[in-house]
Amino acid sequence: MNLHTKLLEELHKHFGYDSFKQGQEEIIMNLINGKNVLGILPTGVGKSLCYQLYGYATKSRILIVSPLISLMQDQVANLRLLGEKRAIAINSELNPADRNTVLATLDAYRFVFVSPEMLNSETVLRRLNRFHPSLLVVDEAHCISTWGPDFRPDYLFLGTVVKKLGTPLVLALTATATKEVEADICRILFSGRKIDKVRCSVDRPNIFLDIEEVESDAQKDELLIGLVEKMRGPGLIYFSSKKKADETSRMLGRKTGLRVAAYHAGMLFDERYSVLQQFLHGDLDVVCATSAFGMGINKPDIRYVIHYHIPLDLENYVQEFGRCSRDGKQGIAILLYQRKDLKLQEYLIENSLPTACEIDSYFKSNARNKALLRQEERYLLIEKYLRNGLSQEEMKNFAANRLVERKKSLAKMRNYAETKGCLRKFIGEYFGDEVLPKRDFCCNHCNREDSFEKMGLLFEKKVSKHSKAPGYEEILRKLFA
Amino acid sequence: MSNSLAVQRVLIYYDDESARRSTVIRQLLTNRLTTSSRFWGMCYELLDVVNTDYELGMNLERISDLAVDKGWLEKDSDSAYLLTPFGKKVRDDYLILHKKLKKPELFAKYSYRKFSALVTLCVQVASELSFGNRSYVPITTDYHLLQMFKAWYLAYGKAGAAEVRIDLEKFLKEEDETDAAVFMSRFAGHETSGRTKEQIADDYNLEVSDVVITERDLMIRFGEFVINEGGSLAELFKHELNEGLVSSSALKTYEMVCQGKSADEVARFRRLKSSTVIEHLLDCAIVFDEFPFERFVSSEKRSRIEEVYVGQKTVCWDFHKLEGTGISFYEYRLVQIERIKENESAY
Repeated sequence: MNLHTKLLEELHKHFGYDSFKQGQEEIIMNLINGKNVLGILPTGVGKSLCYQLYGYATKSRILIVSPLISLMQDQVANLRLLGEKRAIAINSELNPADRNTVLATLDAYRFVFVSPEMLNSETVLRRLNRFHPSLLVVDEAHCISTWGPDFRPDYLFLGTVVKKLGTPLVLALTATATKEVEADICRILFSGRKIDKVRCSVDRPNIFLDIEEVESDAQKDELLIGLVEKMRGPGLIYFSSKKKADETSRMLGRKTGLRVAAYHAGMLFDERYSVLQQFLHGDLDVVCATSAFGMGINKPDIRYVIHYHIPLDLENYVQEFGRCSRDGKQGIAILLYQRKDLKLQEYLIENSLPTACEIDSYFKSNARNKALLRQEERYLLIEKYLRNGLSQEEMKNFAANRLVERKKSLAKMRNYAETKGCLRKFIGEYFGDEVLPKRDFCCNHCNREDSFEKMGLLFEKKVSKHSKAPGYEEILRKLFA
Repeated sequence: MSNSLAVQRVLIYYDDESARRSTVIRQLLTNRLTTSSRFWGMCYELLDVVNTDYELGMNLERISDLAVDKGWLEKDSDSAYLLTPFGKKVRDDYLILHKKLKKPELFAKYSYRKFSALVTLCVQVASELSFGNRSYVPITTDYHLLQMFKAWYLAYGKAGAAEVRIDLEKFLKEEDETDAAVFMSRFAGHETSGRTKEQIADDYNLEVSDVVITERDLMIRFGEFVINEGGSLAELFKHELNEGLVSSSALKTYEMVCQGKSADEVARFRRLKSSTVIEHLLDCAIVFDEFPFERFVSSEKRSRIEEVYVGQKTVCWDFHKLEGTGISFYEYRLVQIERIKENESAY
């Protein structure tokens, strides 16, 4: 049996699919042939499947470095849904006693997810060494690059970590990487070693790109109501503010009669769970979410993604609208652009990084004051820089450079919002892809006449929101067989 | 909680006859107890609200100031608030129209947060098992909780899980039907996603804050119900006990004192500072019905104290009047506590 056939068998056995998506097979084959790989695959292609299938095909252990706790939790959850219980996440959510228990029983797991800051610990590294991972996966690998807006200091030292783990095979995965970011990943993570790159275009040809410019909040809300009433869902609306997500969710529910819920980090875990499950099972028409809305969530039939606020950068924008129409059917991504929103994003950027004054103030503080300062995220970032060996002056330069980079990224996002040319081409050029405008259903600059009706996105019928609320006995009967 | 309802709700912690310090109320609601907040909690007759409303507690001063703006409270220079006659009417109306916790004292006894996570997980697992399904995403990512549940399930198996439904049915039969439905609506299980509190409020035409209180109320009482039933589920739940109104260390001090040990002996034996033991004694004197006051304050000192403060309300005593008498703050406070308890009211 040749390798291709064997891989298809494993694909069907573990995931229920009959064919690979773009780039997946090439990545897995390269890994099986002992090559380090950088995989740049657009969102929705199924990057996780690459290392999961490798693990099953080679019956080996996989260590995955992931930057976000929520992403790790989603991925462990997705594995559990597939019947795979040998998955665990090691991050700051585990208290020290539980962490020690997990580290002592690592051999019971096949897929171990770990946050980069955990790898700062020699104890954790020693234990992971004994785990003998045959593959180290660096997920969201773009976080390694200072050229990118999502840079995380803990990622800088992954090159050293690879060596400390005995230089296993490495797979770096990301959905968005400009040429500079790609070069950084290769330099820092692979230290000049030979690697194979599998790069697929970021373009999602089945997503129509649209920008609607508005002058006021009232106009934006009116437009939004019109859109959700007209378009076939389910839909996802992104916000940069939890409060706005809540308010708009209530407003849309009241005005449209649609089934709408909010989702953000300010909600309790079990409420977020309920909203997510309702959305996945088709019990919600619209979710109003912040970026907390699961990166690892796989709902294939989201028909539209609307951004209420301009995102901070094109990387995040492409990732977020990439949740649309993963089933390959026609979808639409709409950005509601109001120039005033740029101020909000600038404010968020400036508040995310410590100023030179704040860095100086931190170094002058005693232990008690430092404990109080830690309540602010910017000061936690200072401590992270400290852990990564930066001096006070280096920190100031670093933070200043990051501020410049992030503002540049926002400026690029603004250029996208204000461009008169093809939106698909704009995104392609930014990521170094050659993307040509499509003839049909490209963007609202190329195809002004395209309508929801032509795209098959017109709203069909409303599901009745209000049936009689069940009594407790009915709920018990539904919950228990 | 909607802002306007929170401003009404905060009034239930204040009084129209004597001003109350917001710091004390905040510490009680958020379970950040000190000896001082326990003492004043006793004087305010609010020891049963400990740990019952964390969110309101964290925002107490801000919300109380909003109530001042509305003319429902008055604020003095010591950040103490007094309920106005208008505020009293608003408070009384609120208590008639909105939900209350039936057994607030349980929140000091049990960890509501852990109970809630445990019950939610138990219901989900029991539901999935009843349909023979083992592939689902657990409703919690708390590793410790999952391990604890796993160990329990290994011991008690499907029969244990089946008790979840039995206990729920027994418990809910005695509850108001809408309350029971509100409580059950939040649970996720087999092909059931659970509802958010906003959705539940919409479903049953209630305020979100009433949904929150109903859910908290039934959750903590269900937890106690299960423990009292004594079945296999009780083995899982009884781990989630709080320290209660006194710490476990203070409890050990109290036990030794009840066995006849002096404060010095306890300090030496347990290798604690004397000041720590004294704090323990004060806490226990406040919380427990039985306390040997006479062993810690001599009758001479007691008479001297009563002489100094004759005619004054106990809570209005000023310790500075005892300067030069050789009576310690601790002895003075014990006498205060004993007198307040004897008279059953501080004011």
